[in-house]
Amino acid sequence: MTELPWWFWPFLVTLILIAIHTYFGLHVISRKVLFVDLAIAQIAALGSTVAFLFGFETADPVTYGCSLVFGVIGAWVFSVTRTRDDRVPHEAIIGLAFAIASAAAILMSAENPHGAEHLRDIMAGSILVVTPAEVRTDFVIYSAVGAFHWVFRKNFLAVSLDPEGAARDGLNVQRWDFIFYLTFALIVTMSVHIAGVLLVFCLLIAPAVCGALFSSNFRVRLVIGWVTSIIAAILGLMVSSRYDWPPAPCIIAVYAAILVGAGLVGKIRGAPNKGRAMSEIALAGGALVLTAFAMVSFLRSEVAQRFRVAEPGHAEVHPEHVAPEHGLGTTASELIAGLTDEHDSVREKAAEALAALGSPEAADALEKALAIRGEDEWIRVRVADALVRSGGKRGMEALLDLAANGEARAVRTEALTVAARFANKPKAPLPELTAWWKQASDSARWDPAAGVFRD
Amino acid sequence: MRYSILALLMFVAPFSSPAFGLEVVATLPDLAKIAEAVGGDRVHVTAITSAVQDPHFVDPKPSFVVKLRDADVFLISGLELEIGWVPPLLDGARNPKINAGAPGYVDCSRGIPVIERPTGEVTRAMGDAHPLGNPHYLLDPLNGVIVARTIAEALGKADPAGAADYAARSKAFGRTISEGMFGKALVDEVGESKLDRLARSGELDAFVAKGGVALGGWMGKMRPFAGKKIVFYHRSFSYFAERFGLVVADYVELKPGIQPGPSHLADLITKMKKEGIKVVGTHAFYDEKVANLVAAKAGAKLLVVPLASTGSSYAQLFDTLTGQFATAL
Repeated sequence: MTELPWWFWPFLVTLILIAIHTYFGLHVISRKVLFVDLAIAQIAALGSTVAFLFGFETADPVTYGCSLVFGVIGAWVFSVTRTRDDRVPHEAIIGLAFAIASAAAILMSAENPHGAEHLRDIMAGSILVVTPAEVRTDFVIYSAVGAFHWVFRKNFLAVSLDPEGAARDGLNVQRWDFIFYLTFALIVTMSVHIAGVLLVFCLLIAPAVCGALFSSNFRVRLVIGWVTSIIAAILGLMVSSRYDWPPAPCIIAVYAAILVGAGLVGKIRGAPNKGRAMSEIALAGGALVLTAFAMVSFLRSEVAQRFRVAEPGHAEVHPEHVAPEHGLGTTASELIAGLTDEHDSVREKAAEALAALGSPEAADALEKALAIRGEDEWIRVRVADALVRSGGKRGMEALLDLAANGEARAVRTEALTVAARFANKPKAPLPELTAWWKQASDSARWDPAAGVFRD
Repeated sequence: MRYSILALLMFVAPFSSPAFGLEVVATLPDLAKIAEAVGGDRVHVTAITSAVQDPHFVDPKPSFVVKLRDADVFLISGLELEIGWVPPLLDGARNPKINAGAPGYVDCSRGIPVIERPTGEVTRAMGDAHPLGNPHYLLDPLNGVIVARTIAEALGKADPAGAADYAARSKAFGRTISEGMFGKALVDEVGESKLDRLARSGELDAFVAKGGVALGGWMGKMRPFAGKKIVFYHRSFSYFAERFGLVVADYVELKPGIQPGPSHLADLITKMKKEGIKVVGTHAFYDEKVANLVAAKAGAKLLVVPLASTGSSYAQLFDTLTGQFATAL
């Protein structure tokens, strides 16, 4: 099997979304219920939050079923609240439903520490990671819904475009409204899960707006919407690929450019004096560019200034955060300073280095280091080692003491090995060394070249 | 009747709080667990976040403010991990004992050798970058020991009568972690602070090879997998990887906290196939879809690991993690 390019499935799923959403978008625009998809998506999300509360995972079919049930309830609410009473616009009820469903979902997630992430998951699908199985399911269900709407197209168009006329013709408007919202809820719930709220909203509304700018015929609008959406999807995915940005926002950004272009063309076409309209647009465009330029340069200079001021006092950078190995020098005086460093690893390395150096000027500092209370016994071994090599006999006593009384067995072994080497009696047991040191300590002379005591 | 309840409350209220000793609040659950180990029954510890939550983003709840108002000691992870939500909470709590700069405000990152500190200018374009370095230092058990010492010192300042007790418990905690880390036999043989230094300087293997006692514990368990490459979702596992010798070859995220784009994912999958990377690590609170896709396409295993201990002790975190990685690698 050859590897499909990354954009294959995202593009395919976007095409499927475009096909059905452009159609539904025209209905939504005619009904003036622009935010109904957000409200239904949020109500469906509330449904899956409920399932989640009972312990079902996001991907579980039960969760999905639960969100569909909530979507149906939402569809019913929106069909019965569509009245001819002008005092309460339908959009107000849809907005309230959105707010109430959001608040309820947050409240339900409050006791669940995973809740916030879960809420984010439901609303933030990404076409980038869509699976072939999801594309197949979508295709089947969307086709079925599309076919259903095609069969009953007269009824659906009538209740959306002219509900009063439809009622006069004996159509049960409320029932067909319910069926409309039911199919819409099914589509939106699935789409939002796959593509995220933003892209679904854009693919729903933007093509309908483009179509409405140029025609009042439903079919012509549909074709214009499809064409612009496909162009936006192709360009958007190209931008996404070129700059490695998430695809959905890229498609939306391209659509923004298309909408602006279409709006300008529509304005010029409709204006009585085309030359004047064009100069007005040029003026407004120039003003916008200037404002943007001024804002960017202001923000740049402002941020540069603030950072300069804030830098020194800014964070609590602790000097200890720097790895302790840094800053240990190589000269005797630097190493001597290292003996009293606060980091044990630095003290150990300093003692090791002083042992290699064997410099008599370090003897005093090493004697002091040996007297540090509570010092780690491994460091004491290294300090005693260095002290002997710097000519301090106290170091040998310390080694013998550590070999006898060291807490860790490995420390005792190490101290004994070092002491035996200094005594030029490798492999000698501790009692023999102790006895030898007792009578030889006064007369023994340190031979730095050989690294042993001479009697 | 109503008055008698009121009278009862007035009588009980002044005694209810100090009976527990010090009130300690920690931002992270593992800080709380270490504080419990160090404080014993002299302290009462509460954690603000739970182990399954993303510590970068926390929605403030009213109870947080109430907890902080009564706190004597406030433990934060520091390194700007909690910068998004701790300052407003402290403002709301109005508790001078734990304001930034007060002795009750304890930045537990003090004394930690921090890694991945960005050099040069840090901008928002770099994503959710941490200008002070990687703040997930508790994933190295040896850093947990440093934190225990810091906490013991802070508790000792707030409750001088217990200072010796805290110091002793912090030492015992260090011993427990060291034994878990290297195995009891090796700690008995060599001593914990020497092993700590050897592990940090990278000389542990050479040292152990010379002696007669084998490396045990978590380090021993992970030793066979040293040098293995893994991919991680976020830069949250650097300390663990560094300590146990794993190599984090790449990240699913393009920049910290920013969702990846398509070509990064494609490159990542190619790279994983080429280098034979078999594990993608992530946390439960990240988008599983993306990590799953990467793992499936690259023929690797998705490993959802905890960022904090879900058990009763800090040490259990490493039992879990080393077990998970040892099975997956």
